[in-house]
Amino acid sequence: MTHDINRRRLLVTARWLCYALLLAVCYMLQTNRVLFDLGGIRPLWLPAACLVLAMWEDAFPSVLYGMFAGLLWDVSSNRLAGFFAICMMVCCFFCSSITQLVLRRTVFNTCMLTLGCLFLVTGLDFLFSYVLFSLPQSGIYYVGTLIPTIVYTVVACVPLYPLCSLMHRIGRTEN
Amino acid sequence: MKNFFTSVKFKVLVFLLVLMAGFLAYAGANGRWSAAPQELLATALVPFQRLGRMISGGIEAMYERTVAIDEVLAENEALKEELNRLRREMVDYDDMKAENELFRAYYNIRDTYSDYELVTAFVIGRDPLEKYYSFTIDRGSRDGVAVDDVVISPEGVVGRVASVSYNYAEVLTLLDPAVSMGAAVGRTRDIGLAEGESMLAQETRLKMSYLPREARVAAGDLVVTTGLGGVFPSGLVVGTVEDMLPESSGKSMYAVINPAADVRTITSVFIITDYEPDTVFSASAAEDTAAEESAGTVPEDTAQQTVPAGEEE
Repeated sequence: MTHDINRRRLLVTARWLCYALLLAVCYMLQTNRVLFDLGGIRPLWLPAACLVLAMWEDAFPSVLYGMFAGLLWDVSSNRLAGFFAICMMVCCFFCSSITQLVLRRTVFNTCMLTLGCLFLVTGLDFLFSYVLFSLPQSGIYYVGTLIPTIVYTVVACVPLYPLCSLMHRIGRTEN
Repeated sequence: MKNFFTSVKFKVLVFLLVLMAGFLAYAGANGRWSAAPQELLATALVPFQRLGRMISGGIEAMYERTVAIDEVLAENEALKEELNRLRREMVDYDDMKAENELFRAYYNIRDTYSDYELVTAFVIGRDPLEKYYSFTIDRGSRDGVAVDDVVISPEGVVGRVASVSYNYAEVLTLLDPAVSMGAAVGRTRDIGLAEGESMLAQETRLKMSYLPREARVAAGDLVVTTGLGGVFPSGLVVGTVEDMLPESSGKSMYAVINPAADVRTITSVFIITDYEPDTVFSASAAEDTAAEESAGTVPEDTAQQTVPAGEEE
């Protein structure tokens, strides 16, 4: 009995470590210039991973991993510390809550939630980094770079969904 | 779900949210981009970024060997033709040597680099949302890198260091409007301010402002740094002039410059951590122009070519 409990605790810890490793790998993929580059557009792996993760886990761990992913995103971009961390915390809480209360876990719902959250987060970033400074041709940047990046990121959610589903099952007893 | 909002976990999350907002406010109030937790995370993740760079380097090499082999062969043929053309031009050795002696004081990067303390660095990260191709390098304060250190490549100026941590640093490229440098056109000695401009940055070009209307700058002219301002040493290649256009005010001209270094694809750079300040274009240009003025060969209004006060970096 004690052996089973210890084994289960170990597996649960392994699950959390797997999630953290997944976010570290996504950070590496996101900051790499060559991998998954399509005409200069690359997916945002970090928000995709933590939003998919949030759909599989409860609010508390989802928000913690969202904060971790957001801090990693802040590191790789020249943005103010904590900006993406706060955005991802809110988005992960929303995704986790709405999945527990209303939505079913499907690939389509995952893509739609990711799409909505990315539009919100990148929209805020665009507002504070470009619109407020009245940079010229910001609209062209939004349409030509941001929107394709968002679409590409939603596509990147598709392989992350089964991966998070697999990690979610580690350490959980089957009913 | 209702119980969650009254639970300890929710209070912990609210505390963390407030903490992140505090970091945001602290970083913004102190004029810094990063804060302590961010720097700690980044320091721990530098090995992952190096691993990613190695993997992408291998994939890129494999791609070039297999898929892009036709392009590589075509580029090889084009380079061979250019080499033959250059060999034919070398026939007129005496004239070329004399011209080279004249240009050496301004453009010879090797002589200039021998006086610099250089640190090599690899580019280990770029953000997909970054508009001006800023990147992260794997050198930091432990390697002697400091904020405002100039970053160069064998081709020319790449940018400057914006923020430094223990083992990594963020670099702003010369396409970023936050980066500006005193520059001069080598052939005509017209002095201006080379700076990033958001519209031109989309075409990976930068702008050289405050050129006089009578400037005899032409496409193909080489642009180098003057050393004025104290951040960028003199004699570094910025790029070549592509076009000369009038400013909206009509009182001066600006040049569109094609940067010598390809900031989009660069993978390794040098950081100048120390150098002897030397403004090539301040004293000698003034003396030569004054000499030409007295001989009546230079119009008076081109004699005073200085960057307007307050516009240098």
